[in-house]
Amino acid sequence: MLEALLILIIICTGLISNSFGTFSLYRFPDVYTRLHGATKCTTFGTIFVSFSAFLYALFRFIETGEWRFVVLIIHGFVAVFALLITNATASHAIARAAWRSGTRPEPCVIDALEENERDNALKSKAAAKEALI
Amino acid sequence: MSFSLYVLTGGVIVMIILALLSVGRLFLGPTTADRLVALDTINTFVVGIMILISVITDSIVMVDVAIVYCALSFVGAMFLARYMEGGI
Repeated sequence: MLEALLILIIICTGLISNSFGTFSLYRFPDVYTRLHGATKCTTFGTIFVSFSAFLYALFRFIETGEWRFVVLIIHGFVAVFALLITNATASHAIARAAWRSGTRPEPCVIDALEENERDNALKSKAAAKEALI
Repeated sequence: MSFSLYVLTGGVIVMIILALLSVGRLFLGPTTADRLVALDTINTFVVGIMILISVITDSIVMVDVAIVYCALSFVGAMFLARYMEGGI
């Protein structure tokens, strides 16, 4: 019974966080805020949901002593690690693609990326002129 | 069937409902980036569902499928983002 309670607490943490991620898709006004809410909440929640599954496999290993449950936990940790890396990288790529395709955050005060890109363009133009001379 | 298995099955059902709810943003997103965000969210949910199902049905193969699905969804998201930028 303690085992079920522990699994229930961990999976509820994950599911609540996951539902925040889904609701943030509908409640936020533009792409960047939606990306922020969805990516952070779903990564956190899916890690916790997976941990509850691993905890169940660990209890089965203690109960029966079969090594295939340990193999399942190890493979599951590889999957969670892959999820951790790919989610962050994909969200970064989506945000950059949204910026470059012309979507701007609505109350935008300072756009550091635009200044940076302008500086880089000026630098590369100056370098090209120098190379011509 | 023990009580903790019922808990995990309920978790799978809730995750499937959340993934189906995220499909709405896929259809009514005003820009392409909104749709891409919804697709990324659904992919993350599917990986979690696969790990839960592998534990419930006691099959290790499903976790390996989850790893490959994770990598392929990452490649797909990067490809679509690159397409949005105008790189291709």
